[in-house]
Amino acid sequence: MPKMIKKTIELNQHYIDRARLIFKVRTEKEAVNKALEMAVIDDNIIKAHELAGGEGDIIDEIFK
Amino acid sequence: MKVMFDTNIYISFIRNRTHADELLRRGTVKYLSATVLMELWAGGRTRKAERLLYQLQKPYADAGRVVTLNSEQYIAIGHFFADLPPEYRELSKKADFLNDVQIAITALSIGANLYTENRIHFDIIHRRIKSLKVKYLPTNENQERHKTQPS
Repeated sequence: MPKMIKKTIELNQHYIDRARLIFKVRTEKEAVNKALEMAVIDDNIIKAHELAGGEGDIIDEIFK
Repeated sequence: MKVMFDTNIYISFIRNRTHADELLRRGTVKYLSATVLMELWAGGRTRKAERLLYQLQKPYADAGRVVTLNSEQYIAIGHFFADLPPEYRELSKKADFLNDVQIAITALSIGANLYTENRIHFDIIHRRIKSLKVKYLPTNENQERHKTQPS
């Protein structure tokens, strides 16, 4: 379970409203957390891609 | 925008970073087809390859972004092959074509754009599954040829 913490920060209300619609969630808290989660997942995937790129001929294309 | 990459896209990128723009682009919602994962593992025969594939699949798996097929989708694949015209009967016996149909259905199931180098297979698939969103990327050989052609 991730640590949840109360923050007082200024956020763009328009973005929060859009995020609620995009993620189909009820609360602003869920919308902001979901947006942050998406950014972190994307970063993890891109970092994994970065590590794999340019390693050479190490995976054969078996089904070709 | 949801995106998914065919096996050949990952292999070209692992080889020499071809398609880096697409694989390293921020802001797309990236998914991995379980069939692509199977094909990658089939081609990874060394310890180094295993390590690389484990690292590659981990963030997808951790985020629940590995897409598998359910029984209804396998039945749809069965219908796809049953309805193929006779000229594709030989093609339909080949594992690579079956895998590509499975990859197409996994992309379709989540509404993702599918990036591939294989225009031949996916043109055939797309003609029968119009709602599939396919993006063709040039193979490494084609990119090299394009670069060396006089303008």
